[in-house]
Amino acid sequence: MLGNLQKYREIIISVALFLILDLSVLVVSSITTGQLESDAVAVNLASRQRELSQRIVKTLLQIQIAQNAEHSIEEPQNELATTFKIFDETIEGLRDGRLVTGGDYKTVMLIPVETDSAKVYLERAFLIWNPFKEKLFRVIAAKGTVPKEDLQDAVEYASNNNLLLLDLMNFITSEAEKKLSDKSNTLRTIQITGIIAALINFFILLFHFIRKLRSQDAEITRYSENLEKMVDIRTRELRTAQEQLRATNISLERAKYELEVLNSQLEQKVEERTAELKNTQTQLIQSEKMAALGQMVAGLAHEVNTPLAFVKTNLEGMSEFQKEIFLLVDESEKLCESLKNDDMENLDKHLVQLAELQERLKKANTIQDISDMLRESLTGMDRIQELVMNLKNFSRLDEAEYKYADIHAGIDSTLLIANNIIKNKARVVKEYAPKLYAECYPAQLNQVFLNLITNAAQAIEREDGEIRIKTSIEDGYAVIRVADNGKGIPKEYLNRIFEPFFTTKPVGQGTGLGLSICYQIIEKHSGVMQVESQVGVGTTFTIKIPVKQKRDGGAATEIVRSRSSNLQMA
Amino acid sequence: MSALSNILLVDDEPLLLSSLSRVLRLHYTVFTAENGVQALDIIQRNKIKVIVSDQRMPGMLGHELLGKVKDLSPNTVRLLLTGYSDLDAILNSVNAGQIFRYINKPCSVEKLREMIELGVQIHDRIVSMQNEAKTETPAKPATEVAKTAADPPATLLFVGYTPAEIQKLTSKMNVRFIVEHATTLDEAFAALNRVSVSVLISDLNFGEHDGIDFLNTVKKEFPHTVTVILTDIVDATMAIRSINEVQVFRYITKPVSEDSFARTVEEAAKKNRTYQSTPHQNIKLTAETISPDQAFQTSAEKLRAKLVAARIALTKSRS
Repeated sequence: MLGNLQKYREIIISVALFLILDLSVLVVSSITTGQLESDAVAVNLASRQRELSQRIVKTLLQIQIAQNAEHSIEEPQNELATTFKIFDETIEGLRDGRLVTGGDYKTVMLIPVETDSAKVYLERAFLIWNPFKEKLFRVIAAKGTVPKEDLQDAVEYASNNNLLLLDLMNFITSEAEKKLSDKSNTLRTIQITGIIAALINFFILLFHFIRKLRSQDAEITRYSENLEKMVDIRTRELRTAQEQLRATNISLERAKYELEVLNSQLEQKVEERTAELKNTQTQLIQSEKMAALGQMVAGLAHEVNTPLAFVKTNLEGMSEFQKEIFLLVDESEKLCESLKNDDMENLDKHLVQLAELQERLKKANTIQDISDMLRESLTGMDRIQELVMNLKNFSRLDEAEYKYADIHAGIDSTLLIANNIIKNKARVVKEYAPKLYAECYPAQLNQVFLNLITNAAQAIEREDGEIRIKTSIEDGYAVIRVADNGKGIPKEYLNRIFEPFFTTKPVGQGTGLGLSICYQIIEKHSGVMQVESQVGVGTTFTIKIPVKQKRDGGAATEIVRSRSSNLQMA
Repeated sequence: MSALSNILLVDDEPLLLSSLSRVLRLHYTVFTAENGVQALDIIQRNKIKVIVSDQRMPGMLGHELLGKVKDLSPNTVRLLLTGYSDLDAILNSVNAGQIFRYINKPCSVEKLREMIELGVQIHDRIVSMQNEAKTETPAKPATEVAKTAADPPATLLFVGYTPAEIQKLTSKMNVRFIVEHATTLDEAFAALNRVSVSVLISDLNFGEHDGIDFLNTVKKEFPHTVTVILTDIVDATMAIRSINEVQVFRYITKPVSEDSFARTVEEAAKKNRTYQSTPHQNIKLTAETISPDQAFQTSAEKLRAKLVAARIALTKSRS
């Protein structure tokens, strides 16, 4: 606000100045004009006095003529009276100032004369008028006829003084005119001065405004130049920025492209690596399987080898004994021949030899041996057959993969397979439920059992090693517990043992996949696998699998699917 | 008719025992045991010439049993039956059991009889030589001979190792040895002809030549040289052959600590002195005097030729 006022101060001052000047000129000129009117009235009336004096003279003469001719003097007498009255009041007005009858018989205000010379002239005029006035008054007052002497006296006075009076009236009029002219000059001067002052003010104002406008213009120009410059700079900056942006954009595009290329390469690499990894995993799982298989096969070889060894020994022994038997048979045939032919010489000889042979066989207990050997060999063959049967049961290659199977049979066949690992380490205690069947992949479950039983046997370091296998049915779950009294698993390893590749065995002695594969097999059966262990006391693995798999959407297919993902997860 | 020799069969399979005893009992008095404890009991109460033990048995393993038998009855010739090629067990038995032979299960009756017969003869020879030694020099037991301070330092021959390796291996030895080394077999033969080697420390990997054949050739010519195998080849067949063909003293797999290696070499040197003072203790030598072809067959004729060539070269250079 204050700033605005400040801004408008100049213009306000200028306007005020302008108004004051104009107003003062107006006031002065209006006053002066009023005075001029009065002065004009004075001029006018002063000049009328000359005419009036003439008319007074003329009416006097008219009265004289009329009287001479004896005509009525009434009319010129009235005119003289009126003229006399006007003349008298006007001259008094000029001296004292008073209301008088104007030119058009209206009353106007007459102001007294002011100049000294006019006052002198007026004094002299009064000196003439006052005696004239008395003479005229007698003329006017006369009824019917004016006494001749009076009239003569008036006419004589008039003719003697009229010219002087006229001159005086002229002087006064000139004085009045002079005063009027002076005043109107003054007025003109004032008006011109006012106008000039107003003009000067206006021009000052105009100049000032122009200058201001110009400076403002300059400022605006400067400002706009600045603005333009700034705009230029900004434009340049913007352009640079834009170019940079474009460059950035281009490099971004390029980077994006490169990224895409890299991405695709990466994807390819990932795919390759995934494939490699899968391959490696497959190989690892394969090698784990091979390791397990190798162990199993070695064990089985030993198991088969023992009966094979004694069966072979028996057969070799029998082939030796067979020679003796054949000798016996041969001798018997010869004896029969001799008997048939009545060959008495040879008969005796053969009889003796036969007796010797029989004695020898009897002494060596050969016959009994042969029958024992046969019996034992058959036993050996039975054992081999049983092993083969178990192997078949364990692998279940000739059965449906997924079926409702006897869990106990699976454990038992696994125990036989693992016998050679267990037998030097521990005795097996079975605490089976009366019956335990579950829907499962029996071969895979057997793999889990073999793993757990083998681990248990390997963990045992004491003389009275024991592996306790307990089964039960709990809430629709088949529960199998494999407990050992081995060295136990340290706490820090306990939550890691199901991790793939986790192993405490030296490098090359186990891939660390065994338990993780077991875990997955059990998961795949919608089951759980848990471990409890105490170092120095033993370890218990617990497996729980549903007796009946859920049928929504087909558990079997679910299991089959997860089986294929098994490879990837392991 | 002279009394039959006593032999002992140990196996946890009774049917195997019965079958074996049936085919052997015409020629031997057969004792059987189903485990180590029973076997040791029998050994203590009877003079057993040959023991044949299975390796894998509950309780005591075969090589453990034979180790104990060696202490209880040193002259009993020890055979180990293995049906299951358990590498660790074999190496253990090589190094601890001091066994005479490995026999693979199943073994033919004929082969088994041969082995047992050879064992019986070796037993009888050693016993008779011991008796002779006792009557001739009763005051000087073999061990004291070995400890004679006047003996010159024993010579070690390293075959197939880098000098740095040998430096490292010999760094912890307390006893002074003369150390020879050879990188090729030719160099080895030359060294063997030049000096009397007490202990031969050898690798098994010699490219075209079989390491066991090489050792066998050496053993034939220098029967008292004690052989130590130090190798990174861990192989059951090699280990079995090193016993059956070379009667190796120790089979050590790399890496080995310098301390235990030093101990092994010292023991080997002692063994060498024992062989020199009482040759009948050298079971391989004894076996070969009884049945040279049968006892330690070898296909190392080419190597033998090399050895002979080396010897001729040496003689020539000396003359």
